[in-house]
Amino acid sequence: MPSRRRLFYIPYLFLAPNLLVFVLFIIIPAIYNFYLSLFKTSFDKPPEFVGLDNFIYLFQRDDFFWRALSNLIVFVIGDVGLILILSLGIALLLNEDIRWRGFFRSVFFYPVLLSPVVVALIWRWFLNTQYGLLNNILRAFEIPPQPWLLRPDLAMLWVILVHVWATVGFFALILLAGLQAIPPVLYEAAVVDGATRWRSFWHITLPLLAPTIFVVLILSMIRAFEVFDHIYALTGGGPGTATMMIVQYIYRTGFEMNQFGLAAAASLVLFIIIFSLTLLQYWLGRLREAV
Amino acid sequence: MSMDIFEVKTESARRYAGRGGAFHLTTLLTYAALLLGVVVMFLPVLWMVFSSFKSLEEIYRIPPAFFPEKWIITNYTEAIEKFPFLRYLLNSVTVTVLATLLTLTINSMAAFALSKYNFRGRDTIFLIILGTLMVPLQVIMVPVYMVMARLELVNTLWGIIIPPSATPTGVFLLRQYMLTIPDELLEAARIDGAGEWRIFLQIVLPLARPALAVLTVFSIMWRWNDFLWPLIVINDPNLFTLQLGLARFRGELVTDWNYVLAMTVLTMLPITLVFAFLQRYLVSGIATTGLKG
Repeated sequence: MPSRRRLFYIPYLFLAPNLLVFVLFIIIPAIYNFYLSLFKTSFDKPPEFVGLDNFIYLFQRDDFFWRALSNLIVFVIGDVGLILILSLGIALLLNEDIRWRGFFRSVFFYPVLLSPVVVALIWRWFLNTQYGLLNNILRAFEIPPQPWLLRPDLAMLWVILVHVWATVGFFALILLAGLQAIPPVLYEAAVVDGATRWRSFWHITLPLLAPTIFVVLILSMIRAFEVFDHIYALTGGGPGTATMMIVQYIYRTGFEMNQFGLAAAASLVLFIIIFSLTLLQYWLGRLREAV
Repeated sequence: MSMDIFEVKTESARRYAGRGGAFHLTTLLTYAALLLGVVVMFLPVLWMVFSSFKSLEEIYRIPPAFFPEKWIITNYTEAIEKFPFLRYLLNSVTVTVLATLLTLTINSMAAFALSKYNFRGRDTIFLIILGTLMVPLQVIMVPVYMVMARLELVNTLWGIIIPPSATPTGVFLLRQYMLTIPDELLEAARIDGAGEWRIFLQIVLPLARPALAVLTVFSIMWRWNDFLWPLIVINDPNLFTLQLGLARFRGELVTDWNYVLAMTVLTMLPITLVFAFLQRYLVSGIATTGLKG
């Protein structure tokens, strides 16, 4: 049709506004970030090209960066480990033949919708050394009040627990969908063959759920590496630098110390981590389809 | 009739055979674990809600009572007077409403192009859009800020409305839904002389309403809860959203806990209402896309 030929530009017009926003606020900054990471910037001097010096500085001399990186590794291991165990447990419970399933599902999902700042304030009040509920419950058992968010090791523990509390419902929901996709016929056959529930779990549930568990693993790792809001509002990275993660390092280096180049280099390190995780997920997904 | 009875029998027989004598114990343990979950998930929230109705004297009493002895609402009324709560609220509502409208508009236009036309570069563009999910704001904060500064969007509400509005999740969700709308409908309209813009507005958009509803709920949630964008873009306290306003109360030495508690409860109220009434949209949306903008 000749009229269709004249209209070849129509789809581009429909795409234009969305693409414009993408290009301006994601694609250009992402490319610019590479460039920026090769410069040294500060308050008073014009940017100076330094090659890979920012990366060398990060890994060889910057104690803060190492601190943020080691904090992040502890956080990721604790956070992802707990999320895997708990989300699987919650999904299995919700998949049981129970009453009020909708209600229980909502209970675990509710914190997922709360903003990180609200979550942080809820927990700061709950964990408050003097007036918080937790210390006052412990007091009834004659356990002295603990400064939960003021001692480095305890603060790290609570940062992990609060983040798990706020996000586990999301992952449980993904696993629940995976569980419900397993054909009930398989369990019925196992029962006929005299298998116990434990054996059904190991030989039917786990193998068939493995792809979904893997998705949860990768997604929760990406989320954990990107963590910022919850911790910023809960401890501000403190006490000292005990709960400072990479994103906060970037924020601080960039916006509080105006070292844009160094912040961009640290961003790139984080980007490479997230990028590899996404590729891994994509690649294994493709592999599974091929099998 | 006799079939029904037969069915019921086999169903219960199977259940007992499968779970053996442990049937009652497993059920009991399941409910016990779920109940524990309810306590862990709700106790901190309820503690905050109940505390927000206590007087300051009662809030700082040791040992405290879980429920308020005397219910008061002065924490709420005074917090609204003492802090620019209404200003923050207005900013949050403005951002949420405008950004959601913008997201629905540009995402549905892009999804329409990607699902209903054949053109050069379509698949590449779609892949690039999905690929941007790999570049969260956290890893491009600094260059984004520089772009925003160049465009004079720093310290404006537009700066937190426009940039996050082109969500890859929204494009994906709407595109998948629009693919199910039969092309014959569009062809018929073209034969009747309808223009492309009219086809989009009067045929595709009304048919995509369920997907648009899901995206609306998502967008409201994303924008209301958004923290990092506003933190980077806004310095002027007059432009603070509720999340920024609340985040000012950092550090252990908060003295006005009664007001902070009241404001936190007010901030979580809209999301709680969305959750209570629109949960099914959220759950179906998450099932298809995940949760991220």
